[in-house]
Amino acid sequence: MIVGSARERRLWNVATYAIAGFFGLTALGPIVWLVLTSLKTEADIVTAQGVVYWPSTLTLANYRELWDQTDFPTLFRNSLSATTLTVVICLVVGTLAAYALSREAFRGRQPLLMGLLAIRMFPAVMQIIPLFIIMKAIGLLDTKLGLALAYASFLLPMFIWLMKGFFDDLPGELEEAARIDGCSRLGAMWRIALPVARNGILATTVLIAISAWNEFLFALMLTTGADTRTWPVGLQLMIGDFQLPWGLLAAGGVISIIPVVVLFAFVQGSMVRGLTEGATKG
Amino acid sequence: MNNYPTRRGILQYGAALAALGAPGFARAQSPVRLSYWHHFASQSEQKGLRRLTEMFRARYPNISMAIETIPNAEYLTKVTASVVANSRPDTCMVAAERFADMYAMKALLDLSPEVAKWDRKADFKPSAWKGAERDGKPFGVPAYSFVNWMYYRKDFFEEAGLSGPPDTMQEFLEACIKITNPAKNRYGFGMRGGGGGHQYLMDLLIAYGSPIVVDGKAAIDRTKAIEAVRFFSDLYTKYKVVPPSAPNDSFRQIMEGFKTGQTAMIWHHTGSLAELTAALKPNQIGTTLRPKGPVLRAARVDNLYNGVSNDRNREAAWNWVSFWAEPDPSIALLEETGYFPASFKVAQDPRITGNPLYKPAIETLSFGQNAIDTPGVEAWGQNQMFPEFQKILVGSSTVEDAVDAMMRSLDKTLS
Repeated sequence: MIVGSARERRLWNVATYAIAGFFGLTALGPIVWLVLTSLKTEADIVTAQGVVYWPSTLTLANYRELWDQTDFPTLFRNSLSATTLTVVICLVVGTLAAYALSREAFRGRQPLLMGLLAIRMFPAVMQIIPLFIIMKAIGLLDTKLGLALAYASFLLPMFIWLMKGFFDDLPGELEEAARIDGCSRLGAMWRIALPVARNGILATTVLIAISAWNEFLFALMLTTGADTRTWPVGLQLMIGDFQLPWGLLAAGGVISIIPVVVLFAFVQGSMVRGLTEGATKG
Repeated sequence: MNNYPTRRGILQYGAALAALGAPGFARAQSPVRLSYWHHFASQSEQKGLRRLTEMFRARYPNISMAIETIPNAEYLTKVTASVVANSRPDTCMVAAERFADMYAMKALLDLSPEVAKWDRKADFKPSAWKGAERDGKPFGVPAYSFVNWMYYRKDFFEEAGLSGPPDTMQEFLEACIKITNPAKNRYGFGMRGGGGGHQYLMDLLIAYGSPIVVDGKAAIDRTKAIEAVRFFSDLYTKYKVVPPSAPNDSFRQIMEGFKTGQTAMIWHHTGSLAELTAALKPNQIGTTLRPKGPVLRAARVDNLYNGVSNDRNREAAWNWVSFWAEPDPSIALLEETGYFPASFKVAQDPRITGNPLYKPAIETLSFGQNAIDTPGVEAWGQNQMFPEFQKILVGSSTVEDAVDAMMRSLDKTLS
C-alpha cells in the first residue's frame, strides 16, 4: 500500500498506468500488426520504403483468397470436432482421476502423479511414432477420435495436475457432511465438489481447449486426408520452401485466434476467478 | 447373304474375349488408387502439381491419385512413422539430402528392373541419378532440378550504365560498387549471410580453386580458400556493397530485398523464378550464370527425385514416377514453379530454349556440380564453416583465422 501525499499518490498512479500501458501495448502490438497485415495488399506488406504501418488501401482480398484456396469450412470443422472431443475426454476422465488422486491415499498414488508429470517432459516428436503405431493398430489413424485421444495423451496429465490442485484446496469436510447425509462418494463429488470447483474446471478446460485448437504436429502426423486435417495444418501448408504469402498467413492467423478470443470473452470472469483461487487464503 | 458366323469370325471373337479376360488386361484396366507423399506446399507448387496430376489422370484414367502434402520440416518424421508402422505410401518425393536416411530405413524400393527397360533412362546424365543411387542401383527417378544461377535487376544495370550482367567475380564486384548507393538504400548484392548461406561460400571456394573434399578426405587449399573468403567477406566489410543486415539475412530477406529494389543481384536457384517474375516486370528482372571465379564457374545443380515406397501398386507407381520425366509434364511444372527439368533432353525442348530467362539454367546444366555427398560435409558447412565466416562479418575474426578454424573443423568432421 502506497502511503504519502496526494501528489506522491498521483505520481505512483501515473507510473502504474504507464507500466500497465506499456505491457498492454506489448501484448496488443503483434495482434494489431497481424490484423493490419491481413488487410494489406502485397505491395504494402513488402515495400521498397521499409515498413508501411498504415496500409494505403484496406482490402479483404487475403480473406477471400484464403477462403478460395483452402477448404476452410472443413478444416475449421475438423479442428472444432477434435478440440471438443479432447475437452470431453479430459473433462470426464481427468476430473474423476484428479478427484481420486486428491481424496484417496492409495498405494502407487505418488508414482502415478510423478508418471503423469514425466509424460509432459518428453518432447512431442518422441511420442509421435509410438502413437502412430498404436493408432494404426486400433484403426484410429486418420480419424478425429484418434486425434482427440492423441491430444488427451499429453493434455490429460496437465488437466489432472491442475484439477487436483483445485480439489486439494476444497475442504474435505463439505463432502464428509454430504456423505453423512447419505450421498455416495461419487454423489458427493457431483453435488458438492464439482459446483464449488466450477471456476477451476472452467479455467483448466479453456487452457486445454486452446492447446488442442492450436496443436500442429500430432494433427499433421496422425491425419492424412483433407477430411480429417485441422486448421493449424491447413495454415502451415500454405508456406512453401521458397514462397511465403504474408497476407494469406496473417488472414489465417486472425481467423485462428477468433474462436479463442470469443471463448475467452464468454468465460473470462470465471476463468480469472479460477486461476486466482487459492492465491489468497484466510 | 449368309448371316451365320464363319469359323474365322468365331475364332476372332473368341480371341478378343480371351484377351479381355486375360489377367494382364484386367490389371491394366482395374482402377488403382495410388498414394503420393510430397512437400510441395506453396501456391505455385500446388498449382504445378495439380496440372501434373490432371495430365497423368488423362493418360491413365484407371489410376486415381491420393496426394498428401507434408511440410518439408516434418517430412522425414512422417516417413519414419509410416515405415515403422508399415503404412508406407505407394510413391513419395525424395530430396537428395534425405536419400541416405530414407534408404537406410528401407523406405524406398530398388527401381533397377523398371529403369533398365526405360527408354528415357539416357535422357538423364549419370550425375542426375547419383543423388538417389546405392551400389549402382537407382532408388528414385529424377523429377526436377534446382539449378543455381544469378538474378539481376536489368533496370538498375541500365541506370548504372552497365551493358550487361557480370561474367567474372571481378566484374561482379565492379558492378556491385557501381550500383551501390546507401543514400537510396540500394546495394549491389543481396548477400545471404544468415541461414543457408554456406552453400554459396562452398561454391566460392571451389570457384577459387580450393577443393573441399577429395576421396572422402578434407582437401581445402588454405591459400585459395583465404582468397575466396576474403573476396566474399570484403563485399560487406570493405566495399560495403551489401545491405548492412547481411550477416543475419537468410533466404526470405534476400528475396524481399531483391523484390523491393534494395539489392540488384542475388544468388539462388531456379526455384525462386516464379515468385520473382510474378513480383517484377519483364524489363526489371534478368537471369544469368553465376560469375566465374579465377579457376572455374561453380554452381550447384540439386536434383529431387520420386521414389516407389510400396510394392502393392508397383506398375502404377512406376507410371507415376516416370511420368514426371516426360516433356509435357516437366514443362508444365517448370511453367508453374520455375523448377527445371532434370532431363537434359527435355531441357532442349523449344519451349525452354525459346525463353531467354531459361538460357543460363540450360547452360549451367552442362557444368553444374552436385552437392558434396560425403556424409557430414553439408552439416559442417552449415554449422561450423559458415559461423566462422559470420565472425569475419561482425569483426570478431580475421579471414586467416576463420579459414584455419574451417580447416580444423573439417579435418575433425572427416577423421
